Amino acid sequence: MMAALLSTELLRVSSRRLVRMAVLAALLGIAVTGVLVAAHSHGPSAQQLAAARDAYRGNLRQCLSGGFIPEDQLPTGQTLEEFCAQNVQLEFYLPGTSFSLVNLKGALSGTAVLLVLGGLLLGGSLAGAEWNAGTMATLLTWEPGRLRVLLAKAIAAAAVVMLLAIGAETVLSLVLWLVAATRGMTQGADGKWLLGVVGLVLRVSASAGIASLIGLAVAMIGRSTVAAVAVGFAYLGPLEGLIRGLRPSWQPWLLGDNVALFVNGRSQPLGVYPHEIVRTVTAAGLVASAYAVVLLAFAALSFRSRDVT
Amino acid sequence: MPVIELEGLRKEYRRLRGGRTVAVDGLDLAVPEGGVFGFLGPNGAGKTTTIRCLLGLVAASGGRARLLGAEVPRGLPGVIRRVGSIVETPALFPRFSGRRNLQLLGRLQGVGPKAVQVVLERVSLAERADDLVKNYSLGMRQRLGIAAALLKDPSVLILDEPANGLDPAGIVEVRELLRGLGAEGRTVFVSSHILSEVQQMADRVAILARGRCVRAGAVADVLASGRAEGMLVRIDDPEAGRRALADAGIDATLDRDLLRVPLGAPDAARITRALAERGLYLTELRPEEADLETVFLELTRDEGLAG
Repeated sequence: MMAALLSTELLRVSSRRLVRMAVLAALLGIAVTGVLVAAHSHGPSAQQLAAARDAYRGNLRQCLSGGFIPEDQLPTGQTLEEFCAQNVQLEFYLPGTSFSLVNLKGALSGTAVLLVLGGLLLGGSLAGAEWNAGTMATLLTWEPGRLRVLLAKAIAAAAVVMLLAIGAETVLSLVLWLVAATRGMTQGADGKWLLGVVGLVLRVSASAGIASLIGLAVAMIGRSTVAAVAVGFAYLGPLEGLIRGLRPSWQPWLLGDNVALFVNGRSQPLGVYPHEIVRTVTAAGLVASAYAVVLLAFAALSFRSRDVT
Repeated sequence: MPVIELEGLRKEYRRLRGGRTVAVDGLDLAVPEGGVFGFLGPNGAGKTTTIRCLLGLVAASGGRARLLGAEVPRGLPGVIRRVGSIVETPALFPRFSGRRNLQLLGRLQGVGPKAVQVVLERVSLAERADDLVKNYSLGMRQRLGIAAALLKDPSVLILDEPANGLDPAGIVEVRELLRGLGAEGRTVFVSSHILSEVQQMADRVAILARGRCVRAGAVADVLASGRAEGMLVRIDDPEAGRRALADAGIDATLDRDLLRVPLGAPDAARITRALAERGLYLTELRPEEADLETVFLELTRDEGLAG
């Protein structure tokens, strides 16, 4: 029964106009980005490349020998090698007109905000549309197990949003790789870099999935898409800013900060001394997931106990 | 064993500004297996709330409900496969086609596309099945709702106002469909405010007023309990006939082209004689029968609800 419910939900989600529109908008945005980057990118000459390589190697050596920063002044949680890899990169020594593939991570991180907000909207809309159309009652006359219904919706929403996010990030990566290969440069994009990109794509898609669960949970509690969107934007916008300002010690537990750190993929301190906490990437992912789990638990309680009229 | 059993069912809604509204007030009801059962009541009598309680959509405040022997809501998952239903206006996804909606519902219970086509044909919606539901008329949505209810090939159908929005031909079609389903041995529990329809298709009825059952039983028994008594006379000149009867001491009233005479069948001879003496010859003389509407209005008037 659960499998049938899940497959029905997946089919329904993928049939939604909002999903098709999101896919189209993402493809259009990626195409425009690709064209703009290609138009502004010109590959470096052989001499520029050789000069940049020399400068890069020299600076990297100097950095690794502690010439840039003493080891005791390194940012919390960062090794000297990580610091140097982050601060000494080949493209820093090339003319700024070349698009370098190693900058792909920046582009992918930049799309995270859009994908997280899109996930929130899509998750909220999946549940909200059911309440708006009154189809929740119809569904419950076919499957009266309310927790099963909620679980299937949550799994379907997260799965579809994560797949869409992975798809969008993959297509963007391929387009920018094509631009870098033809009109920019691909130096420095080695196996380790590729692993980093894959990790980033997965973290961004996981963040979008978490956002979809939060949107779905709020829409189930408020019984409308508007509730999910309004609460989501109000929280991530003014409310988190207020909390950050009025209660700096709470910052390590704020959703936005943890999602940002999780996407960024770098452990760092959150909050203000003396209450700052060094948050690891895994812990940030867990804190963000906890928001989704707690809200889904409230949604389950509300859905189980309230009448469907 | 009754297919639907309600014992002291009660449902209260809390108002936002305090206080409570009692929608169903200790309702007792037993619906036997097979045939069409009409569930009647004026607006606000608690019909839809009762149906929602039966389907587990709202939690009863008290009493018990059993559907196919299963306690509601706990046992509902075990029997829902055998229950088809419509609650108020069928709610389906407006931006999906009728067929798509049914296919999505059907997947939940492993019902395939062939069965979808069969029910679409059964409700005469096959030709428009691929149109978006948002472009359907109210009547077409109603048909789609009935199709959805039939999709599980259910042994019990619980239908809330299934004829809502249908044109006269559609009403007749649905009547025939429901009678046919009842004749197949299925139990069709149908709430309706179109009393003449219910009278034509139901085997048994229950009349609800203020959340309580005020009369239940076979349609014939409920009709027999009506207070209508008297004779109806059809005559070429009703006004002359009324005067003739008045002169004979019979107080007749004019009801459109008929004369309503407050005498029982044994007094039929008095009527024919009084008219014949004035040279008036009737074309029809029959005992007045109570219809469901009359009984319904009497019972709900007794409860202070009519009008």
